[in-house]
Formats: sequence, C-alpha cells, structure tokens
Amino acid sequence: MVLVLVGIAFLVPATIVLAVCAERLRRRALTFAALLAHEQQRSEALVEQLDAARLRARGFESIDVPAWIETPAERIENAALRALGVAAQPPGTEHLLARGRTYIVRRVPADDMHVAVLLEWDDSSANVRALTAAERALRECQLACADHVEPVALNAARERIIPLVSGARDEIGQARTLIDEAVGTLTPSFLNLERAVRAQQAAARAVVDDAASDGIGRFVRAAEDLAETSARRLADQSSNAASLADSLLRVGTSVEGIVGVFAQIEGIAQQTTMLALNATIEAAHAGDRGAGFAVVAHEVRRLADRTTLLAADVRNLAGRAQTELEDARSRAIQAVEADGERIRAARSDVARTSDEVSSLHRNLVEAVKTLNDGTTEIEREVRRSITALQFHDLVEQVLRHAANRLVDAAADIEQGPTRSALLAPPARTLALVSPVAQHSLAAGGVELF
Amino acid sequence: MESTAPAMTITILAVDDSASIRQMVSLTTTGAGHRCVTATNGAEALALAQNTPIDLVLTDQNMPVMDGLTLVRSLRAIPRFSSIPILVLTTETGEEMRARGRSAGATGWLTKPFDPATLLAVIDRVTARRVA
Repeated sequence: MVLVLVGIAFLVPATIVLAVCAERLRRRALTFAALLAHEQQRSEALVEQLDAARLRARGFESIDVPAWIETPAERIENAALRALGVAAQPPGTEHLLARGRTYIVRRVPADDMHVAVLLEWDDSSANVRALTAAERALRECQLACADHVEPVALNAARERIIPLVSGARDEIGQARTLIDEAVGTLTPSFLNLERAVRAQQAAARAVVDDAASDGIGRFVRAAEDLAETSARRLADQSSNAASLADSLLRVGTSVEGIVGVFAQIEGIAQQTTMLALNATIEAAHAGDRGAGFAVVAHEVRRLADRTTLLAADVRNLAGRAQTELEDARSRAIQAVEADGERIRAARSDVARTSDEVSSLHRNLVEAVKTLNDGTTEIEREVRRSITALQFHDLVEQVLRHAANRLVDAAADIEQGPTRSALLAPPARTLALVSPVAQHSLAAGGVELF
Repeated sequence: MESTAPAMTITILAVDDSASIRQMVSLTTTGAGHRCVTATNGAEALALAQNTPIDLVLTDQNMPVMDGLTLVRSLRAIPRFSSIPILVLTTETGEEMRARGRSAGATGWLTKPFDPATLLAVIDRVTARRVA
C-alpha cells in the first residue's frame, strides 16, 4: 500500500512534468512550423517572381518550378528523423523505433496549408531523461532545419536556378538577334514594295488624268476628222473625174461636129471636082484658047482631090479620137463610181473604229480606276505592315526587361542561403514597372508640346 | 508613304539602339525626300551633332550609354540646337515620363509603333512651325 502510495506520489508529479514538457514541445514545434511556413512563403514569393519572369519571357517553358520546394510536413519530419539518427521513413509511417524507444509520429494542423510534426512516446514508464533526450532531439531538429535543411535546399535551388537564368538570358539574347535580323530583312522589302506600288500608282494616275482630260477622246475625234478629210478629198477627186467625163463627152460632141464639117468639106470637094471636070471639058471645046483654062481646071480638080483625101484623113482621126474619148469617159465614170463606194466604206469603217476606240477608252478608264483603288489599298496595307513590324522593338524591350528580372532574381538567390540573407533587402531593386505598356500593335499617339 | 514631296527637305538625326527602327526611320524619311543620319545612343548622337548640320532630331528614350532625355538636355545646352525640333519616339507612355520630356526641352512625344505617314506629317508640321 505504501509502495502504491509512493508510486502514485511519484507518478503524479512525473505525469504533470511530462504533460508540461509535452506542451512546451508542442508549442516549440508549432513555432518552428510557423517559422518554416514563413520561409516557405518567401520561397513561394520567389517562385512567383520567377514564374512572372518566365511568363514575361514567353517561349522559354523549360524554366521549372524549383524541385526543392517540399511540403513543410515532410521537411520537418525528415529533419526530425535525421536528428534522431533514423533514416527517412516511408510516407504514412506512424510508429518508429529510435534509440531503444518507440516514437509516435503525429501530424498536427498548424494552419490551412501546413502541419507540424510531433514526436511522442508511448512508453508510460518514460522518465525525465527520455523527455530531455526527446527535447534535445527536437532542438537538434530545429538546428538542422535552420542550418542544414534550408541551406541544402537553397543551395540546390541556386544550383538549379542560376544556370536556368543564365540560359534564359542567352536565349533571350538569341531571340532578340533573330528578330532583329528578320525585321532588318523585312523592312526594306516592305518599303521597296511600297515604293513600287507608289510608282505604279503614279503611272495609273497619269493614265487616269490623261483619260480625265479626254486625251483619247481627242485622238478619236482627230482620227475621225482625218478620215473625213480624206473622204472629202476622195469625193473631190471623184467630182473632178465626173467633170472630166462630162468634158470628154463635150469634146466628143465637138469632134463629131468637126467630122460633120469635114463631111461637108468632102461634099464641096466632090462638087469642085465635078466643076473642074466640066471646066476641063469646056476648055477642050474651046481649043487652043481654052488651053490655059484647062490647066487651071486641072489644078482645081487636083486641089479638090487633095481636099477630099485630107477630109478623109481628118474624119478617120476624129473617129479614133472619139473612140479614145469614149474610153476615157467610161473609165472616168467607173472611177467616180468606185470612189463613191470607197468613200461609203471608209466612212463606215471610221464610224465602227470610232465606236470600238470609244468602248476601249471607257474600259481603259474603268480598269485604271480599279487599278488605282487597288494600289491605294496595297499602300495602306504596307503602311500597316511597317507599323506592325515595329513589334520587334516592343518585344525586344519586354525581353530585355524580363532578362533583367531574371538577373535580379538570380542575384537575390546568390546572396546566400541563410535566413538572415533572405530577410535582408534584395541585392538589386527589381524593376517591377515595364517600360512597355502597349498590349497591341496599333500605332502610338502623338503629343506636341 | 505620302507620295507628295515634303514641305521642305531637311536633315534628320535618328537615334535608336534598335537597328531596324533606325532603318525604318531612315527609309521612311529618305523615301519622302529628306536626308537622314543615324546614331545608336545619346552619346554617339551628341558627338555626331557637333560636326553635322542637323535640322531635326528623332530620338528613342531607353538606350544604353546615354538615354534620350539626357540627349535632349545636352542638345538644348548647345546654342545651335536651342530651337530645332527634337521629337522623342519611344515605347514609354507614362504621363510622368512625358512631363520629364517636356521639361527636358523635347518638342513632341511619339509613342511606338509609329505610322510612317503620321511620322512624316509630324516632321512637316514641326518643321513648318519652326520656320513660321
């Protein structure tokens, strides 16, 4: 009974001490968990900055979220186990044997996102030494977390992130070079295209202006006038030919009259021959006295014969002249008729050609106007393209700024893995305001002061 | 872009660290009949301006070595450049930055990207304003 009472008297304070110690341990564990949660938040903020930088440098998806970010519960648990000299246990382990005792691994919610890990004993006979050992183990856990786990994790992060940052900077530089080279090639091409279009437009405008000033219409009217002049000249020639035919007709009539006159002369010559013959007979009757008269009568008859021959020659010549005149008149009449036909055909051709040229003129004017509209549209599109090509300058500045953010982040990490370093201000002030506010490629504004 | 001749032919100093922007400004202005010389930053432009007759300066803001507003202030300190038009062509759109440009002595503020026809119209306008 006494022993029981002594035992109770010993166990009650021991239990109270144990409860107090357990409560202290629980509070320290919670404090440590909160500290780690704070560091976790800083780490997450850093990750967010890196993510933001990654998003700014679109196209570099190879930047990972650092793998060293563990859940707080695993970090604390693993650190505690390492402090106790126990290898990491598989997830879900709740009991473990360390230093000859059985421990219960218990996770206590610290906040919405983190848990604290408590190590408790299930040995009811544990004494203060055991509690002291457990407390020491937890203190070692804290030290390990503060001076080992975090440095290891941050060193790992630094070793992973710094090469990534360096690589990202190199890739951003490469992207800037490629874009600059591409735009440097495209810009003269677009501007040369614009100049060619401008020249085309000027040529089209010249044609339109010429059409507007009725240059082709003037040409058509001039052609019509020329054709009409030619037709008139042809008609004049035809009229002359007709007059010639009339003249020839009148000449023929005159020649016919001359032939009639010579027929009368021929009759007179015949009568003269008869008279000379009678005079010769009368001279023979007169004997020697009529010899002189016979000579005269002979000469008269010879003269009448020559007159008859001459008249016959003239009549023959006049007949041939009449035939020639008739032929000439016929050809003149044919020429007049042919000229009339040609004049009608020429005027018809001129009228048809004039209609065709006028139609061609209208089509040309319409086509040139369409061409002019098209070149204006091309010129507008080229202007838009040249404006859009300046995207590279905006992108280049965004990339440069993103690279600077990465450099700042890397410098922040390089400051060191210790808590004091992390709590210190960053090595460089992050330029959080981008120099590029544009979110589209619309042409910018103009303000004159 | 304007097929018409400029109001007058002038010499323009285009300053930008981007080679293609310099090229665009140069081709746009020379295509309109102007002359154009270029520099890659403010310090280079300042050195060039000492020995070259310049009628108008068109400068970027964010450049290495010497930025645009420092260039504007430096040029305005030179009597020869006290009244020539100096336009800032930049991606910066903030009101504070514009106010700094105005205080530095800039004639106008053009936000990138620029429309070639608008740029030529602004050049003609500030040049005519100076002549008037």
